[in-house]
Amino acid sequence: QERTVTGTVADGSDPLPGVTVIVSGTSNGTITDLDGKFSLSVPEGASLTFSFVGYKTQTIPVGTQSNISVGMEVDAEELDEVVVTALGQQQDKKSLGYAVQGVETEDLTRTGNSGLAGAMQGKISGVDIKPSSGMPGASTQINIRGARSFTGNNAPLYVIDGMPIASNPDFSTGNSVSGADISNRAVDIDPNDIESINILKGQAAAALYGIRASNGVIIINTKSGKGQKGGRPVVRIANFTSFERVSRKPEYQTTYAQGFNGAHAQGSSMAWGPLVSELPNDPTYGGNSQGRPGLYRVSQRERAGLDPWVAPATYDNFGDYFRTGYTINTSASVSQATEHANYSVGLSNATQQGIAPSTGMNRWNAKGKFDATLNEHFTTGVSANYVTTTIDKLSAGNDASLAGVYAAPTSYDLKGIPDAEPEDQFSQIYYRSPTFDNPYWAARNNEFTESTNRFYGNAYIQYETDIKDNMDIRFKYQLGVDAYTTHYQDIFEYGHRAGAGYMSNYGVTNNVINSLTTLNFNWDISSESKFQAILGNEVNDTRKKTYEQNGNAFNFGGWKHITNTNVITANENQRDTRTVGFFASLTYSYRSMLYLTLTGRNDYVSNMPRGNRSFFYPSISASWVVSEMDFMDNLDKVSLLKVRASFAQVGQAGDYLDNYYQTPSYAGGWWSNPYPIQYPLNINNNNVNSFTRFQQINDPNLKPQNTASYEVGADLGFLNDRITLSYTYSRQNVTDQIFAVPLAASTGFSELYTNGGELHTDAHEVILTAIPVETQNFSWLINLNFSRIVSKVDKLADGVESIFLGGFVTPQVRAAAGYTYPVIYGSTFLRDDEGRILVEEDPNSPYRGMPKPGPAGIIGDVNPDFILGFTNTFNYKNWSLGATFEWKQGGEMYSGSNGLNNLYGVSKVTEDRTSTFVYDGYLADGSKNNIVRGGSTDPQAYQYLYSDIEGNIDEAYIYENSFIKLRELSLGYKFPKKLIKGTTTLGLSAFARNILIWTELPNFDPESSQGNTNMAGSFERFSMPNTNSFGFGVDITF
Amino acid sequence: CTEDIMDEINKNPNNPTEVPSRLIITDAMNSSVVSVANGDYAIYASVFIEHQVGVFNQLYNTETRNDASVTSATTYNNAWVASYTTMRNLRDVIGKCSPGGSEDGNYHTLGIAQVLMAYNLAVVTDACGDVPWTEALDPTQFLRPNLDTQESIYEAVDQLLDDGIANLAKTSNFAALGAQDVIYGLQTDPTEYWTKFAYGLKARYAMRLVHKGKATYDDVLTNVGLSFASADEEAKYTYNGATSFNPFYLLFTQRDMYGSSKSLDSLNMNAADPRKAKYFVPHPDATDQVNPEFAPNGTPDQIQGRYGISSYFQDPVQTTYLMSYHELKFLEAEATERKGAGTGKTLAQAAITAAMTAAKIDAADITAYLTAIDGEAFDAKYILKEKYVAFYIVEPLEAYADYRRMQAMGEDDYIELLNPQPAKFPLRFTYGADDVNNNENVRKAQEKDNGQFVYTDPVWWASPN
Repeated sequence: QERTVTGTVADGSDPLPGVTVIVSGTSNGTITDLDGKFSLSVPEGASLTFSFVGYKTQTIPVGTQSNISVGMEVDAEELDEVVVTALGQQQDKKSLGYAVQGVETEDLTRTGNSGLAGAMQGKISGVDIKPSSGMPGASTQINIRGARSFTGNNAPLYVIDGMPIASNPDFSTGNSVSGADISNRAVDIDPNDIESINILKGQAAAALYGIRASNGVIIINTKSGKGQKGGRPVVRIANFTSFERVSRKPEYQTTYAQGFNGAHAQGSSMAWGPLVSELPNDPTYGGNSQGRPGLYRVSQRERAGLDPWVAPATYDNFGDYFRTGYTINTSASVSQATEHANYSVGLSNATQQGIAPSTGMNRWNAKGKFDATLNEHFTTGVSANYVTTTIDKLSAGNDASLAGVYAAPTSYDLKGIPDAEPEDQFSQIYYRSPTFDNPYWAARNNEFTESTNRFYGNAYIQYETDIKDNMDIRFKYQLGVDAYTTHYQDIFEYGHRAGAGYMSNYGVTNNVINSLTTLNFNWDISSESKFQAILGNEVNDTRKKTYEQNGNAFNFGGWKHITNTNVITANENQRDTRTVGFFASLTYSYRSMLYLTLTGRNDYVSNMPRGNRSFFYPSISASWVVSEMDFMDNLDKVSLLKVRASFAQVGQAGDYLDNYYQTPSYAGGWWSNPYPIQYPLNINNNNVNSFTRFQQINDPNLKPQNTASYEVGADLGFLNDRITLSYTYSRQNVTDQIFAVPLAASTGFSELYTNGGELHTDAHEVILTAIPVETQNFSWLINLNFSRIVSKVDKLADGVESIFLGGFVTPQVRAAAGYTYPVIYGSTFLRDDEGRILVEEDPNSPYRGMPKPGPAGIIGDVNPDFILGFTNTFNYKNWSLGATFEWKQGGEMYSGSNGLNNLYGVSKVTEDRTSTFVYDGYLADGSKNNIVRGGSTDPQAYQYLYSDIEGNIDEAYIYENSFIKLRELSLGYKFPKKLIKGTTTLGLSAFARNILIWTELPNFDPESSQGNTNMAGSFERFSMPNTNSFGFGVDITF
Repeated sequence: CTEDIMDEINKNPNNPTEVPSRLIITDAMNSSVVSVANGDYAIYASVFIEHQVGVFNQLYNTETRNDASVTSATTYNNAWVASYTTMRNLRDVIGKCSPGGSEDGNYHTLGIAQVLMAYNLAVVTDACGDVPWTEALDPTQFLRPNLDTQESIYEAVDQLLDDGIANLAKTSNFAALGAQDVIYGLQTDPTEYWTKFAYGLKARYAMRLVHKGKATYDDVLTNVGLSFASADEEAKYTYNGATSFNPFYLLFTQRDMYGSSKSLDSLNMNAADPRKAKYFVPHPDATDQVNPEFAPNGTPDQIQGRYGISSYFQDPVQTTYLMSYHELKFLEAEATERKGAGTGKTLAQAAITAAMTAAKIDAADITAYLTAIDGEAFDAKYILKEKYVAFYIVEPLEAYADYRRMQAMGEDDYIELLNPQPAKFPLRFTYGADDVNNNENVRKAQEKDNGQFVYTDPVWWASPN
């Protein structure tokens, strides 16, 4: 006999909609409505089972009750176990034969970082995140488990709400020795809108994504209304405001004035002049002999129309230049879940002003996400995002705005002396020749901007049904789009380098359509043995157009438009690509204890040569949950023991085109703009153009490069998972590497784009989480992420020892056979057979007793020994305190700024110019160097050493750059619930980022470098500085 | 998606896969001028032969013979690459215009390409000695070309010139290059000019090889007779100052690394030489705007804005010569003088007149100068000294070749150099890094004495017999 039972399900006092209520042992059931109420017909003596994702399942005997109130309890363990894997599949974490790691949204946004990359630093193992600087919008290189490609893409695929989106920069910074940085498109992502983030590190995890997956995948789900309690709309408003300052300030000498050879020279770039205090005695500029005792004449002040006579002084040119920057992140969202639908609508803004004048970023994100359950079979949803990002930048390297900020002699008043003549704002006044622009002038006049308008989103429809009691299928079709346009402007105003300046407008329009069809099939063969299959198809179609308009030589200053230039050239480039993939995944599991998954994907790509377009990639992974075995039941301190192993193959396609001709360019070498020849060339009123073969030739037999990866690991849980430990070892072997093999110039070409070379990566990752203390009012959480990742180049092409990644002729960043990846290459110290530095012995040489230059070679190893991220979180009642440290141990970089500050004689180490020294080297006969230099009879010795000798030996500019940073420190307070009118919660926080830096690199922050390519993090030269910040946050929910 | 659809998607709408030879040869000419004749070899040779003093950065390092600069393969890489890239384009043109090519029978373009190829090949072998040639420019066959001896390369140069002359004499049905020929294209009959240029080069290279017994002074004179009849016919390049600039002008405006040479001023130029006023002018930033300061050879202070510069550095459209009329006249004077002592004077005076005219010196000043030097010996050494001074403007490559030839002949005291490290006078350039890194044949040659061979090993034609 059946009767009707009604009831309410709640979490505390909040009613819980959507809870499944089933008559135990049957398939008869219902779900709770918006108010958490249900009504169900129940046979006599039955029990009801209440289940809901994220809550502990409860079974309650009905007995004689007709009305049952159930309080559901959150199941922390259960929440952890469901993870999002490839193609949006939700999997039980136990079943995975490979490592994935998630970051909680709370951990990402704790310190209001406006960039996702920065917000992830120190929180994930196996991932190396290398920011280029603290400039707003600065590019960041993210490598998961090292590198797979010498010169190609090593950045992970980003998938937002199931749709792969562009995250890489559209323009490479190329050699990265001039111009401004170019952002990655991942800059468009607002960390505040992230609900969850999961990183698929290995190739097995990502295999279903096929050819794009070799670098790992960052899967992001944005916030939705799903699972929201109560059915009411929830409004959240959050603001994070922080203030930025230069993270590290170099030390300067303040004893010696501008000049060289001990003499004052106005116009010199050096500070090898006389004592500052001696300036009034200078024969040319000194006032002591010209009736102005104690003063000296500054010709730049004269040009500026100021009184040229001043008393000698020193100035903090570095400190004067930088200001306090700020970041304001504001976001507002409304979300709601109803019985059959949920939505989230959000709007956010990030406004940043950089520490360097005329740098900043402004980003608006608008988003809407809607999901609905139409009936028991159909679900549909849509997600739409609009982003507009504007970034103002400064140039670095050989165009550095900051060259004078970093390297001006302290005797020159950079801030106090105007940067241009009063009558002519485009005639610069500077302490040195106009090889670089005066930084104040550059900030006022040069412009580097990028602005993006972007839409991405997708819509899906899903159908699911039971075929039999123990079988169901789910069919899902999703169509997504990622479309954006970015316009860039690089303007060197009239007066740049004392010339007429030049400008460049360039940009990209990129449209990506992604179609994804999946069919899931689940079959519970028996209560112990289960089978799951996924079949699918994906089509990715990309249409990209870039353009470029270059204008040379402005007619006059003040009107920075291309129509004001005298020579205008233009170019445009179109590139379409399509990838079509078919994939399948089969999983068999036995008793939640043994899992085996096979996947396969076949991709067809347009951008490979005919006949070589189809590739198949398999993967296999297995997981054995040892703790499910009966004998483990007695070991109750061990709550989880799982071992896993996987193997996968994934590749990367090349970008193949038939060999072609193009218009030659004379940029490079000595020449910045203008060049000796620029086409079209006007000759006697004839416009003459020319085409020559492109310097790179393409191999018509190009095949995809292949990454075979093995991964083994174990997961351990103790004391009901209060302590978890996860270890993963992986090895990737990359073969048939696609890259442009450098050719001997005598072949007439510079590169052959072909397969060659091998690279392997060994990665060790450890994740440790522990909750040492957990009481009702107090808890302490520890999270530790350790990574040791070593990528090594086994082989390049035949006869090729190394290839160029960026930099100058020397020094440069390279991939070199037999070395870790990448390395720094440049001129060396001449050494004897035992590797000892040899010194010049010719007694007539000005350089006697100083090191001699050797041949060019490998001079620096960029690869760190390990990276350790360490987070502690304390919660006490409504207070929370979090601190994340990151420790990078080992690795070297080329620090041009340190070297050049020595060369110019401005750095603190050049302050001692009077004591004698014996350079730590050896003589040709093997004895220790005994040639004494310096002292009163040899006043130029230090200048020779730092300027002439070390300035020509790149190895002298290589520095260790291990560091420990307190990445994040935050203190939060959540007011007791429902502060206002019982509906509003309020959280306040104060935080700091990148403080307490310890580093082996002298003077500068090691996280400041040139380039948005694979050379990132290794090569610095007057690069934009990094920052630290302090701020506070407010979070209101009602 | 079928392969055909994929092919359609992968079509390159931006770049052609084939272009006619007339569009290729244009850049071969331009790069021969700005990257070879007036390229990095010329920029550094100016310092070696003390036409200029390197006073800043890279050129300061060369000036002070800092080994890191002079013996390293990276220093001259751009010049090396430019030479072979130019020759690649010429090889492309020659292939298209030869039997089996898409423009078989385009003899005039073929002939021009062969003449230019000879010029470029001679420059790179003069710079580096034995270099890749027979295996060069053919990456499908040879990824690591082997070196050929300079002696055999000079035979190839002569053959190219003869082939070029022969092809220029043929009748062609293809349209003339017109403005695409940026050297002679706007002349009435460009083939005649190119032929004369080819003979001029034959004269130049014959002179190079006389002391090696591979040519005679009569060969020089025969070829001179078939070459330029006036300065109107010389192989020169005119810049427009908007989209083309003399590289020395750009080197000054963008890099500013040269200072006026003390030895040239005080030892090798006649005090009465009116060219001094143009050769040496104060740097615009110098305190003294009347008298330029001369940089001491080999030991300048490393500073910009102090030492004098040349007025030619301030002229964006200063002519570059592949071969000048005055060079031809000097070759004629030297060959004649060497055949019979005392017979070269009149020809030398003509050569000096041509050179000073090219230097934009007034006729009256030229006459005055010729009077002032009338008492000079006018032997071969003096003729070469005048040639050395005439080459100051933009012909340092030939001035450097002459000096090395005179060294081989034991007559290098025709001029006086002041660099205090004569043992470090570079006898050649290093090989380019792009070959040293990627071609073990060249690497082997470069590794000799850790690059110190540039001070000790002359190139073949500059080695004593």
